[in-house]
Amino acid sequence: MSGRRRWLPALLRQPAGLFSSIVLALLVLAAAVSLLWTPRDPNEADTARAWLPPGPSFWLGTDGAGKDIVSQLLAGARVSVVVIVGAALVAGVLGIAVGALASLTARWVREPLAVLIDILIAFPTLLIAMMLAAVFGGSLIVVVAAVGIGYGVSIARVLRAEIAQVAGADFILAARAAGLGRLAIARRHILPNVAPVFIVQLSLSAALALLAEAALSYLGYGAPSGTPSWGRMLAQVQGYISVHPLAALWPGLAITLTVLALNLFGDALREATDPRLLRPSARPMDDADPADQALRLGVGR
Amino acid sequence: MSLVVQDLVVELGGRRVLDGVSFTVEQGERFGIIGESGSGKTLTALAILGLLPEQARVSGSVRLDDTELLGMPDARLASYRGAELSMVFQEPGAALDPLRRVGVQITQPLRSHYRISRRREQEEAVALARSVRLPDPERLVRAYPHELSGGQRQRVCIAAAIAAGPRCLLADEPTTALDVTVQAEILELFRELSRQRGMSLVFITHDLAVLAEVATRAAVLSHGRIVETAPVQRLLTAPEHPVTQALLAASARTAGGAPPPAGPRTPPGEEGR
Repeated sequence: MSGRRRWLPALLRQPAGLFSSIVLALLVLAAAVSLLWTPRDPNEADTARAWLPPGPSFWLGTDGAGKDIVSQLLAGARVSVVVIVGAALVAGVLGIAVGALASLTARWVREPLAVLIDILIAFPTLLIAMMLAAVFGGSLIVVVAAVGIGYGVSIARVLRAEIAQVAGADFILAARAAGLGRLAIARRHILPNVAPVFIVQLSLSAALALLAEAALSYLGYGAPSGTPSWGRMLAQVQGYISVHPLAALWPGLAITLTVLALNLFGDALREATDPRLLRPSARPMDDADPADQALRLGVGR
Repeated sequence: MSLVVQDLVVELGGRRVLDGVSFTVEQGERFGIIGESGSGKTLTALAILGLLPEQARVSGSVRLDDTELLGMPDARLASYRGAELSMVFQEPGAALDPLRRVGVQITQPLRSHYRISRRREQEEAVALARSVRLPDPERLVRAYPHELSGGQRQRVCIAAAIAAGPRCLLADEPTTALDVTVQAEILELFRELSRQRGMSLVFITHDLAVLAEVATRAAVLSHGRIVETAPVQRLLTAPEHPVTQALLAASARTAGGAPPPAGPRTPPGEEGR
């Protein structure tokens, strides 16, 4: 009973889990490698070699300023990792804290908080990020904070309903009857039972955060110039997309793959951590139980 | 030990759902509370444990020996729950956390009241599982609730309820969700545990036949009031109050004719989802 569930093998057994794990591992690897090495300086511009097609010296070609696309993709992965991890961290901590406060506390705390969440959700996250960027200047911290808070609030709203539902379950009452304190119940029973929803919401938020960063960088509010980012790459080639579609394809593909992987990863992780989905057929039979006798005879189902 | 409930009044949403409930349960006694659904049986049990919803207004007195439990701060009351008084619920499928192994749930009250080593805890889990006659206890404590049958789940709940050695066990219709054959075994288990451990039992049911199996004395509850308290034998042979007579008549009807109702039952594997 002390043994941990082996969720990693269960994650990798699923095709979606395997695929998304590989993509996300490659993303982290690319970001790490780019700290030490890129084929060329990602910011080294030279108009003499603009719009080169893929070839031996520029593997995926160059953009309109003559910058190497592979090097920019690798360096851009850093921004993506920072945004994904940072926004997920902010959104996750905020979501759990506010979601729990809005569902488990006394009525005079939780009800105004629920209204506040609804008000905050009404503000478009991207708009807040643009306003913050206009005041504080475009930086990754502003992007991470704005996107993290924005999605944190929506996670809080989902968790509030979910926690309230779990808190009303019989096994919570049973845990209280067993003498467990409220904090222990929240930690041992409520959080694990809302974790599946939380994981999916968090992976969704991470994916949306990456898209938001791309959008903000595209609009010029994201990463400061000189910091390569996939969104900025898209922005720079967008005017020439009909002439040089390949240059736009690579950053677009990188964003799409990462977002897809994050979405799939959340679902796969949820399935891998649920014991009911992990070992559905291991139920021992009870001979005294007529329902089991019926089951064995093939009746009833 | 004695559990004394005196003039217990509970108001929920402006309605008086319990109206002056009084009874005494002596050390080791098996006491029954019987009444039709909605009569306030479950509320009585929850009120004793201080587990009513926060908007409920409670007055009266619930004493365990000389300690007044009513109005006690929740944190202090928590030290009594599981250790002195504990409870078994109606739906064993819903009363177990679907994500935690059975063994951990059995020893939960031990962990919340005593410092106990992991090794010792595992031994206790197996011993408790054995004491409620779960088959293959070493393997079963490692299972998840969805892997057990309804009767096995209820045995797990009972094991958890007695884990920390409470002096009084409240059982709220613990056999209603089970099949008849399993029901008889569970009732026998309750009798045996109460006798072995000198533990008082407050057994809540709507079924006089079940009551007769497990309790020696009982209170009849109707619309939040106790209308009759008597030895079970007398309730069966010479019921005084019309409500008791009606319950007896209903019980005779089901015992004579078709198989007795096994209560609401979900298909196997669906419970607790």
